Amino acid sequence: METIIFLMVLSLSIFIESTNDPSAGIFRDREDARNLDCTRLGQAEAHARYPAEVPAPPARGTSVVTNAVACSRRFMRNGERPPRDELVLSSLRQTVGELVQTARTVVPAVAPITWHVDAFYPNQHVAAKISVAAKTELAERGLQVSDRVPLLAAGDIAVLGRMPPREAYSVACARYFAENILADDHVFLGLMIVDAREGQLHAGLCVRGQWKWLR
Amino acid sequence: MPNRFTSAFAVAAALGLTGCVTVYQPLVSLQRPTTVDTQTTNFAGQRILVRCVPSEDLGPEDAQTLCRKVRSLFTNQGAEVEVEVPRGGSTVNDVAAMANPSLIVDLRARLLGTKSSNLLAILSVWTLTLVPNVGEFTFAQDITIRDGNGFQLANETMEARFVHYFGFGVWAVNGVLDFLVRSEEEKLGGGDVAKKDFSRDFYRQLSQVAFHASMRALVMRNFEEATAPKTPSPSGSTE
Repeated sequence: METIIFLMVLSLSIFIESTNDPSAGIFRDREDARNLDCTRLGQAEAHARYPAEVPAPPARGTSVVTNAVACSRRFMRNGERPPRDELVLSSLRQTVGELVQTARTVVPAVAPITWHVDAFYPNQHVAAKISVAAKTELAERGLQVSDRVPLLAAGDIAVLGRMPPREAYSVACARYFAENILADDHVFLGLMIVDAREGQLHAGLCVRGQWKWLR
Repeated sequence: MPNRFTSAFAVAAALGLTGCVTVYQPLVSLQRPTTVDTQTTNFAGQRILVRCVPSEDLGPEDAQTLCRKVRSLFTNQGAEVEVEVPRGGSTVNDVAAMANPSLIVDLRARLLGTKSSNLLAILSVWTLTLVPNVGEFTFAQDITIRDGNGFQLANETMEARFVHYFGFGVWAVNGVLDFLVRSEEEKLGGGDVAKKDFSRDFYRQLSQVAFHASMRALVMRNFEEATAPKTPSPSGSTE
């Protein structure tokens, strides 16, 4: 009898231990597990981040714990935003940082330049977030950023709307310059998606009437 | 003597009743949403070279199997696909087997870690798996995509964790929960569910990464169609 009780207690302790496991199981369903962002850490890094939960690695030899799985709950659960918006917004800061960095290397820093930014994205709310993120990134790098979005005449927009992306952005850039909407010391950074099936941003730069794709 | 037979029968019966439950957990990148539908022609007219690089964690046969499945994946999406499993000292920087590929996809697998307890395994056997044995392993799949000229278009690492529970108790409890409580998409089942879940995630993400790479290549070419890389000719001109 004692043996059976001992085994039951042992089994129960293993079941309870599994409640800490982030994977799906008896105490966590699969959807819940997929809403965790998890990564595997070495013991040293895990101890640095979570000193209370993970012991420090020994100076010599090996200990029982050699790595850990660290998880955090996703800010937005799967399905709460459309997949494309989720893809773009979940990595927006990093993407915009890379694009702005590339743009800076293209524009010669010989004179003060005023930057204009606009985003071309099907959802206007997301487009506004992308635009603000890019302007913030530029401003944080000490660049002069304009709140004004360069606008073309309605006739131009109607024509551009019928063009494929390959031509539309370069023609728009030429029109900005020809109509004096952008001067020599102004550059325009455009961020966009070019295909409905993608969840990554591209960028192009308009400098003195010349359009250049950055990524 | 009869006692020995009885014991052996009891052990055999107990082992026969035991079950293994494998749980898949996406760690890095695999649970992201995707916007590409793998059932449509996303790579029409593209020539894709897939290279599955064997390593100590991915044997040549497994690499061959992986490449074959990835070939089906891209072929179903309209691409012309060739696969290559580099062996015997050849490197992935060798001249591509396919002439003028639009995309070169390199796949590598790494085992990041395993976890198991010998003590628990012994205890599990001793108790006829009433005490479950638990083990896990985590691996990473590295994906690098370049264009025909070698320009890197995408570089992604995906990580997955698999946890194995071996024991009659775990198997029975999961079976009861699958039968009575869980909806069809929440069932853990046996090992097949974990494999299917991982495959679905991995092939969807691979398609998405490849599509992003192809779009990036298209934009960087200013939307021109891909042409054969220019090679110098003896006459001094390029062809």
